[in-house]
Amino acid sequence: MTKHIDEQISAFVDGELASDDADVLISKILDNDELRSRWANYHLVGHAIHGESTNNTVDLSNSISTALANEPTVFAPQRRKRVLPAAFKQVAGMAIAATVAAAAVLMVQPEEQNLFNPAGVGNVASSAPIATKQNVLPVSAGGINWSVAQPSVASKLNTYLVNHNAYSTPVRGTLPFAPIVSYSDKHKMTDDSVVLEYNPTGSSVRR
Amino acid sequence: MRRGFLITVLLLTSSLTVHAEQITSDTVREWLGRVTDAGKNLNYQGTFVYRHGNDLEAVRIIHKADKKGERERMISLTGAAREIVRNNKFVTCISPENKSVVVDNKTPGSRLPSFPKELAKLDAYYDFNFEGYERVASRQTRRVVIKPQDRFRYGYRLWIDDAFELLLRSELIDPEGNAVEQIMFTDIKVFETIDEKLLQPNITGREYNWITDDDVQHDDPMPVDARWSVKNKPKGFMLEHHNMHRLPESNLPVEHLVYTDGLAWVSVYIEKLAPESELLQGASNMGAVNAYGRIMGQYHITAVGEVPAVTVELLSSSVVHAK
Repeated sequence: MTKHIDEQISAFVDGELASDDADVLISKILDNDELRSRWANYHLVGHAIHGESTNNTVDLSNSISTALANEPTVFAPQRRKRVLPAAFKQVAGMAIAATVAAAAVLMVQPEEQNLFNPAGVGNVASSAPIATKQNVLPVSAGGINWSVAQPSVASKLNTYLVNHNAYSTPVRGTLPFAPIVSYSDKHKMTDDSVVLEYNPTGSSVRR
Repeated sequence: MRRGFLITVLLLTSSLTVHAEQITSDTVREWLGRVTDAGKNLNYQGTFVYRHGNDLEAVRIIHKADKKGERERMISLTGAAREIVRNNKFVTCISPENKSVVVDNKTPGSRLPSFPKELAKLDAYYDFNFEGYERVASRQTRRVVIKPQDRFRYGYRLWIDDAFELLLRSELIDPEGNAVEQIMFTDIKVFETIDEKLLQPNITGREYNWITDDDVQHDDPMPVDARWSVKNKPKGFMLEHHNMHRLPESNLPVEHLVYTDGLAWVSVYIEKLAPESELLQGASNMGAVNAYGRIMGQYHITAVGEVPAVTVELLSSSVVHAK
């Protein structure tokens, strides 16, 4: 039984567990402290094997989304309230805090808190100025970039392309992730910027 | 007996051929119109791969449409973990790697290919043909080709789901016949409804920078200089917008002219020369997007768009400032 569960956890962490089995396993993990601890350890082992730093954000969206897609009731509201990150943090330690946080959001997310809902983001935007001036640099997707030598020219072309995309409706769709905008190190946030911090108790904190 | 069988086979074959030929370009254009509607109005989940240049990405998409409107979530399955969530009002891009969340409130459109409503006038620049049935994502699709009549625009090969009329595969074709960009679903399922939870982005918000780029989208209208125009354009390219912007990074106003034939789009940007700035002179490209820059008197001109290199060069070189 234990061995079987271990295999299942291992397969789940690797994203290789069939979705029906994953649903059952997630229910068990949610209800059992020891299993949660083992699940966390599997993640640590996985990172060590793959040579990844454990304080990076880990994308669990795939395996968890798949599980959700097939049986969303696993994450019923009354159950979600019980599974707060405190339990995770105790067993997992700070090293996998990022991992846990990522998973916890999916599981904990109370309905009334719409911080993670795009519409909610808009409400925040209108009540508090979260916009910062400029410094928004577009980044190309997947490592491809303009065939030019000077970064400033590439940056200018990116700016043009983002603007061009806003004014055109090409058939092919735009590069799925090209409009993702990010900061370069030389364009740090200014002091009047507002960073939203996730608070597991359910309210958003501005600092 | 045997002859009778042969004749039957021949008759069947020829009747099928005739059937394929009976699909007129009008019918093909009707399909394309319905492709856009299907992509907007259906509930579906699927995975598609996206190839541009030598890069290959996989993306999971969840699309929901109901009386609240359209909602869509895209999750990158390769490279950095990124998500794009869009609804009627906002596009939210989440990038854990850069610890940033970008909320964009311009009118969002799907990132998947869609077609303009006015396809009939495109007959003058493109041919629309049905080429037969093929299987994509283990579903029956109709393969359609949009072939440009000159070398100034890209063509398309498209695979349309025979039942749902969703676009399951598309290729952007350069004048040499190469696919410069491809999108293909590897699996897709259409649902009656989709759980709201699946549309929630998977982020914590902790340590994230929340950015809105209102400044980019909502710059105050500034007067344009109507003396700017492009003299030599490929057949069918018309001026769609003429604006004056202040783009991020520089506060200098930029003259912006947008030309389109209805399928292909090119922007021409005209900026006053700033001292000591590095400028694009000549051609550059990023995947299927081409750009061409040149200096004209006190101005720098750049044409950018999803068109062949020859097109941006022609437009950039043909900019005139009427006296």
